[in-house]
Amino acid sequence: MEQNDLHQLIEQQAAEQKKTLYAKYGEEAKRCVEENAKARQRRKRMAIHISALAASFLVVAICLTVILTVVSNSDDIIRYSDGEIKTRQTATTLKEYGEKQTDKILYLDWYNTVAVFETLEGYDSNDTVIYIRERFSITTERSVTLVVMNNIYEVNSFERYNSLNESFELSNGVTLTYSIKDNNIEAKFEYEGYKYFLSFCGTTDAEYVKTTVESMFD
Amino acid sequence: MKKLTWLMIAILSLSCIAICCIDSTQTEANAETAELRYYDAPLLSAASIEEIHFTGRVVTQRDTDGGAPLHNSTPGLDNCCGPLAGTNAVAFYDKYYENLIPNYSPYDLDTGTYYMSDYRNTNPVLLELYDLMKCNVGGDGVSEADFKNGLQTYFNKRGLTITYRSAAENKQLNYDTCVEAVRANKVIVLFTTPGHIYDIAGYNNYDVITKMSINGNHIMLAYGFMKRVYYQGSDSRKDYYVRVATGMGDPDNAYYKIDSTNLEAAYVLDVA
Repeated sequence: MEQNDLHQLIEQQAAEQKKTLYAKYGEEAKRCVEENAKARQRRKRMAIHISALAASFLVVAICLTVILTVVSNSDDIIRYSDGEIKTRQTATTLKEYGEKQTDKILYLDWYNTVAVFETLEGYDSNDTVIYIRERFSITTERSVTLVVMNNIYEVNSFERYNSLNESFELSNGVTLTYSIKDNNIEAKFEYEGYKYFLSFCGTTDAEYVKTTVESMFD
Repeated sequence: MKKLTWLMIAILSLSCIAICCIDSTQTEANAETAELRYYDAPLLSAASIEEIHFTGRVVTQRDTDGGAPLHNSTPGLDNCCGPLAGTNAVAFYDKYYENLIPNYSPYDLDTGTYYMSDYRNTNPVLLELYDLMKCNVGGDGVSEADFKNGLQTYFNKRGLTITYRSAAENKQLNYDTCVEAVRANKVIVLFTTPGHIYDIAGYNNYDVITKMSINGNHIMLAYGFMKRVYYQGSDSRKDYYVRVATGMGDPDNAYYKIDSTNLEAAYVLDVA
């Protein structure tokens, strides 16, 4: 018989028997009661501690969720590291691609004036088109490459366009940044939710770059 | 009896460990002797960026006449660095051997300079080389032998032959051989393991050298050489490069450093 049952057992007896039993087992029953009380107090303290711990975890979890949600919502950028984007040829020109969108997408209207051009799609593992790249090959010595990408995306391989060292304000107020290198110019601007990266091979003529970019807004 | 049992268990365990070690060593040895394959190798953005400031700079550089084609895309095929390098080689030599690409000139007829890329007209070449090089047969991409045999067959079918003349010694690119080849308007094919290419931006009194990683075995064509000598006071530094058609879309101007340690083989493509 469990010791903590002894007191209960005695209590269940008739009054006269209770008296006899307490006389016989009194100390033991008393100890039983005391131990039961202590055990209840221990259980109570443990319950309080566990509750406090659980509450703390809950608070921390809620705080983290809120913080991360706020951060991610305020950021809202989908980032791709190198190698996550592949390219494929497409028969659809950037102009035709833009005509299918609700957003306005700028393009270089050189399709009938340049001997060679090609259009590629940059896509991710879900087959989502992340950017369109169009290259107009005048020759190997002269070419212009235009990449158009929605502002919600960032791709590592275009990071160098964030540190171009010259800037110029176009006639419509759009800021064009560019860098003149040995034999080419890289340039970038943003317009109505899209980033435009340009690479002009075979020229160091910044005026040519500005004129070309201005023509995209015509 | 108990000690004997433990002794036997110990001997058995050691034997198993020894067998496992021998097996893994043999596996590694087998892997090392297996032929290298060259496939899609992602180009990773800047592994490092170096600024070189100088008081003086002398650059000596030359490309093959008209440069070289820089084809870099496929109609949905994977692991195609071999066929792409082959397409660039075919398009390059079409200027000197007519109808390597039928009914198409991959260069501007007036200036003799190559179009950077034009997949609408060169896809048939890529697809034929994909088959001839047995791309993705027996493994990802192509082996060195697959590339050389496939390209040779393409040229043979058109009445020409290629001699692959080594441009490397002890897996080190020979700069003088590259210079001689470029001056003779010949391209060099490079077979590399993971390593780097360089994008070089030259400004008035400093250069910015962006080192980019190619994260896999790769094949590309060299079509130019460049020596950059920097002077800073009494000190000087010399860097030697070959200009390469990487088969990748970006950067347009890419260079491979002569003293790179990831070269497996390099051959001048002598066509006759």
